[in-house]
Amino acid sequence: MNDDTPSVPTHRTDALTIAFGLLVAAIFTGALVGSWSMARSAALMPMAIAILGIGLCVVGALRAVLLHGKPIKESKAIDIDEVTNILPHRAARYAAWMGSYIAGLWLVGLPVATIAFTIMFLRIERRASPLVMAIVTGITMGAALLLGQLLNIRWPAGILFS
Amino acid sequence: MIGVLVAIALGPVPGVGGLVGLTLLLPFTFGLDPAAGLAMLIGVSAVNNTSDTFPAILLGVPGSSGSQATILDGYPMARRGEAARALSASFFASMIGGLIGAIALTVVLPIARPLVLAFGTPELLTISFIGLGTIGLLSGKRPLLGLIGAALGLLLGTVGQAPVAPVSRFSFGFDYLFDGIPLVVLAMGLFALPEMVDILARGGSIANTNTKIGSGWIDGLKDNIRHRWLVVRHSLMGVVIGAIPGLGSSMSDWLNYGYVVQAAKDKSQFGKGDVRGIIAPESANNAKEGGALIPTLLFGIPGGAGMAIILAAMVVHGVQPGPRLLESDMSLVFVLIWSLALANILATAICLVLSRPIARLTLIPFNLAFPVIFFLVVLGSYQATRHIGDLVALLVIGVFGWIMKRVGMARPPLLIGFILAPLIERDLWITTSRYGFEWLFRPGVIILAGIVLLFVALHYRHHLIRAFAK
Repeated sequence: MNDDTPSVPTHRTDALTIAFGLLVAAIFTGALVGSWSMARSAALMPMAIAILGIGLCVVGALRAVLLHGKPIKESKAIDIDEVTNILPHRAARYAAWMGSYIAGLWLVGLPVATIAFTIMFLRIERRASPLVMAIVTGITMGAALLLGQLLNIRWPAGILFS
Repeated sequence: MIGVLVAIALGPVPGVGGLVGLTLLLPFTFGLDPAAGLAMLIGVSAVNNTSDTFPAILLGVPGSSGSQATILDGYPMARRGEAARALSASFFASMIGGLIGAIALTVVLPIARPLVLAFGTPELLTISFIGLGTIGLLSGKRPLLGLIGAALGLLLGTVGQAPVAPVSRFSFGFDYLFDGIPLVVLAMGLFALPEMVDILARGGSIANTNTKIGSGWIDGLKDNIRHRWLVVRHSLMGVVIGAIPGLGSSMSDWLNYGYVVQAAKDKSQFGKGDVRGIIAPESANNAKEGGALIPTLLFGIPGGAGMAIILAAMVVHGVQPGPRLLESDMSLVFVLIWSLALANILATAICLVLSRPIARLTLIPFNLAFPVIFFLVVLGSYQATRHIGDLVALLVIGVFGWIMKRVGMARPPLLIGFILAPLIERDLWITTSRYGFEWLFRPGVIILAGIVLLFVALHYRHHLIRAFAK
């Protein structure tokens, strides 16, 4: 491809990107404000990084405004990291499963949370048979008990039970 | 043998690395004679970086800090049905790297003293800045987003106790954050959770195709033969990085990955499943263990946390590390070197046998295996500090990592920034306090900077020649 050939925009300008950009800028701004009250020697590094981060966010915002609606040249660089095209609401569903397991661990402890999570996930997401659910639950609990014993891990007892 | 088996058993459990294996086996060495006890620990230390590639390649989950970069090309290979090839390429590279590490240890040990002593904090700082230089390479098509990610990583790396003053930064009153965010939690959150969410949302199994998944192990060997100089080059880089105390597995991983991308003529397949992206970091990681033994045996300075445990075992057994060890107990030194070499060969053989059946895991429908895999990720993260904060941080970072993946912000720069932040802050403070600006003129710094400039000039030589011709 010729260097000057315009191609499809590589920057997504959807609401998620804008919200994420604002969040990142807010993190850098918060860090800058927070480091203001620290001892000078401790504040130097975060302050410098925050200023750098805010500067980069400003450059990014200006670039987005100036290039808005214009075709962007496809970069010759390679994408080492994958860019996903899964829609956020689909991802949120599975993130909610993960969050519910962690919340379960915190609330009711490892055994109850693991058994309940495994059975519910397999039933709802896979429509698994009772035999499959029993086998996977057994493997998960077996791994939990074996590794927990081996590594001497004390799982949270669950705030509802402690 | 016991050490190798323990390391192979623990390596595939994400986040539960060789350090746990060393800690588990340490008490058992007290009843053995020094040679057998230390050989067992060397066995664990040497091969953890071999077996930790199973989750990295098959699940996209870093098995340990030494397999973070392996995900970038190993996991895409697994997804297109080349898991066995990726695994065997990794195992052979690890074995050769480990053997080169053992040979380098034998050759360099008697003459390494001035070399290791030449590395002060200014040189370490220079290496950290070189590490920052890899960010540009790993930012992909959106370099500005990559830089913002790296700045975020650097900022996250400053969370917790400041290394230069008694101040806890950005902990917001949470005792969990007083010691900062654990690396394993950040790596799991950034890479493992977004990957799992995507596979679940996409449906099916990890491997996308119906390719014969367990039949590529000869290809992995051929890949190593084809890229033999790459294996040698990165093994030697691994030895040097290992010999410098404090740099660690993550640094070795990313420096080597960054360099192999930088030096490659055809970069088009990196990140999509280029076997060179597996061979380079894996050979370096195993060779690093040989390098890490140099300061451990020569000065009693551990090259990393694992070497600190081996050092503790040496002290318990009455073995005094230092230059005198080379004169008084050379036979023990050779036992350790042989253990290192044999452990690598043994681990490769065992992992190769296991790779074929284990690679078949990528064909299992992911929503069936998810509860087990997610539990292992939770366990690996919880193992970091054993605080519920580990799991909350895992989830928050996971969501953040997925959004990064969605908006096209490369995740490796964030991780590299996070790894480098404490090193840069500590070394910059010590360097400027001790040397002022004179550190810029130290021979070691000039040589390192010169090497980097040379590589950059070689890489851009065509552009430079064209510019001068004009």
